[in-house]
Amino acid sequence: MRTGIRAPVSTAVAIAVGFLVLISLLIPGLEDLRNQILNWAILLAAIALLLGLANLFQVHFNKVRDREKPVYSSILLVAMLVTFGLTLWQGSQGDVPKWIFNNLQLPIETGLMAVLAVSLTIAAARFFQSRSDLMGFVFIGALFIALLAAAPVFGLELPIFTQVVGPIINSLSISAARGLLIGVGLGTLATGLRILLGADRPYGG
Amino acid sequence: MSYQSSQDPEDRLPDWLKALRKRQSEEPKEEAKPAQPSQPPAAEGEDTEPTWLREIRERHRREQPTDEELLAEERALTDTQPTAPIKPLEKRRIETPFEPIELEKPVEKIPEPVSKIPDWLTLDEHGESSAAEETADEFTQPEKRTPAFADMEAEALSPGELPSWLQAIRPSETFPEEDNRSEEMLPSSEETAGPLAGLVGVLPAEPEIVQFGKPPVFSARLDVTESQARHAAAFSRLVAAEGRPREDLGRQVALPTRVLNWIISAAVFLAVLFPLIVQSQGTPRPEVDAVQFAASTNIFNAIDVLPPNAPVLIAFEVQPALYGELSAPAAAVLSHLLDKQARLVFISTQPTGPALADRLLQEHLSAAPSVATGDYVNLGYLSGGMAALRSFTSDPRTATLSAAAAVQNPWQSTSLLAVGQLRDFAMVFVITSEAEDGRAWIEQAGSSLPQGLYIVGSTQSAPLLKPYLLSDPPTLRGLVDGFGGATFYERLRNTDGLGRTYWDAFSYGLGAIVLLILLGGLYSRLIHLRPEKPAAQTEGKSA
Repeated sequence: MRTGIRAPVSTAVAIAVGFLVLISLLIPGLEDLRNQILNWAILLAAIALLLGLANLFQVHFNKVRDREKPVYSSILLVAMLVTFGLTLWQGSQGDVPKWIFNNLQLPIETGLMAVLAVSLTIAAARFFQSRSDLMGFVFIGALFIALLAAAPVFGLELPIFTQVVGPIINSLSISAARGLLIGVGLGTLATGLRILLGADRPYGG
Repeated sequence: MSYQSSQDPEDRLPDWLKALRKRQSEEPKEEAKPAQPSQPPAAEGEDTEPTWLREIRERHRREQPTDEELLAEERALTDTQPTAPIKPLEKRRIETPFEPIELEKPVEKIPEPVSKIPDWLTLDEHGESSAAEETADEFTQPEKRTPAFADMEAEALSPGELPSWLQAIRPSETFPEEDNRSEEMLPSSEETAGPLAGLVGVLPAEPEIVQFGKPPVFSARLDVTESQARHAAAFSRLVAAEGRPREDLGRQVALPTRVLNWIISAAVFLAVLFPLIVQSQGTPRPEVDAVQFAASTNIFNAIDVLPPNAPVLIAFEVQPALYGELSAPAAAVLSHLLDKQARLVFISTQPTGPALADRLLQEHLSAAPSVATGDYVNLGYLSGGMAALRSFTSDPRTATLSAAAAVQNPWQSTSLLAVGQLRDFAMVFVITSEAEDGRAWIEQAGSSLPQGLYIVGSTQSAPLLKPYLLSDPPTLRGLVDGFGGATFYERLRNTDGLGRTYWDAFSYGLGAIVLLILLGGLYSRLIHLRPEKPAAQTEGKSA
């Protein structure tokens, strides 16, 4: 239920807690209070995971009920319930949950990464069919240099790449990464200030 | 305020005065003589003037400024326009349309005999011509002034008689003869509605303001061209398509393209699998270069001097998709730690981290005594992301841990008895596949670790983590990344591990990818260089 008091209260609580945690980092003696607030946040995050699980279950349950591709949703619901129940019963270090993880989840995700590597290779090989301008040549040229400098090719070491070009690429990548990190830092600072001042309210309200 | 008129004064005379003057000019001059005895009636009229009116007239005469005062006032008012001629005072005053009315009212109240005819109705020729000449002189000679109530003129006029200049501007045509106002607006009409109902002479409000009726209907049809309508329809389809889920339809790919894709995939898989199958180890490993691999050398040196049974925290922030790549450098570093009899303590902010850590230990490091006996601690999953990381950094013992870790109470184990704060760990490692996780640990825990932080990362995370190695003071003390870092670390230790096993497969797979991209690029360029077939021929083939 939406009430008129919801937005001011949630905003006030968020700003107050944010300032409290910020001040506790600057003033000694407030560590216990800060840890207590952070523990509340951790607890809420765990509850949010459960809520996400419940939402996923509800979405696919509705799909099965409405007969909207019910096969896939049914498989997902059964797998979810079985894994959730077994993990609750045996714990995350139990034999069955470990077996499910090592023999289902890990191979699937690793296989998807392997497919991604092959797909990127195909896309790079056919790159000039869609774009053969100057920037296309620059892109493919940079890709070649980075790959050749990463390791010996076909068992043959190319010293000019591994010993000369490699450090140059290393310096370039570090420079680019520093600029990126500075941008990330400034963006994080601005976002934090906006949340503390109430300009941004990602918690709603 | 003054002005200079360029018109003839005769033209400014009212029509009735012009007509009168014309008629008088046509009459014989002898007929004008009987009008002279107008003075006696004036005297009589003066005698019959009531006392109160005489007092008012006298008071007005006393308050009337003199000519010098009037001239000074005119100069003071016209000092901003020195070049403009000063307008005569009488002329300015007679231009006011309300003044004659005010003067006329008291005259109407004067009880005069009906038989008496005022002199201004029987003006003689001399008087009229003199008034006309006087008016003309006023326009042509601005410096000559005649006060409105001069003593001479006031004495010459009888009570109730208007002076000639006032006669000239009688408001006979001030208002039009026919009043075009509506009947409701006439002052004599009676208000029929509202709070002023029944009053006479009020401004009508109700008929003008309160008008109920159907508002006019305007056409809502847009006058758009065919092109605009087509674009609007396309935009509407685009917006409507956003709300519909995308259909998972398999895209039909041409047979040659499919064959080419299969060939590329097979080449990559064969290039990677062949060295693993034949267990090739012919590819040269990186040279021991302390400058190029300074970060890896720092980790090696730090572990090498680690005392036995030192607690070492391992943050295992690994995604399952990149576990294959990270297992090589992680196994190399953990193997070194286990050889130094370090007490490993695992924790992760990723749900899959603890399980992957267990898998790595059991799969590649099971030969180590502490792993075989289970003499290591897995604190489990630390939910809450960066907030949980901050809490764990501040007070590891009170941080909320997973249910399994809480039930077993890992802080009662021998590995963690001496640990109360994060700085009590001899070393802190972060094994991460994503640069963001490494950055979070550096920012949240790096400042509270006097011994520094060490990271084992993937190749993709290394560029974003290397700037922390070069910071001053260094927030990151050492880094081992990817297959290259793993191979180099194993070479430092003079051992063969996963890095050495995968190094040849990595080298051949890399070579195959470079070769395929090169061939694919050349093939694409050849297609572009080939002359296009005529359109008619192409259409005939397709038909």
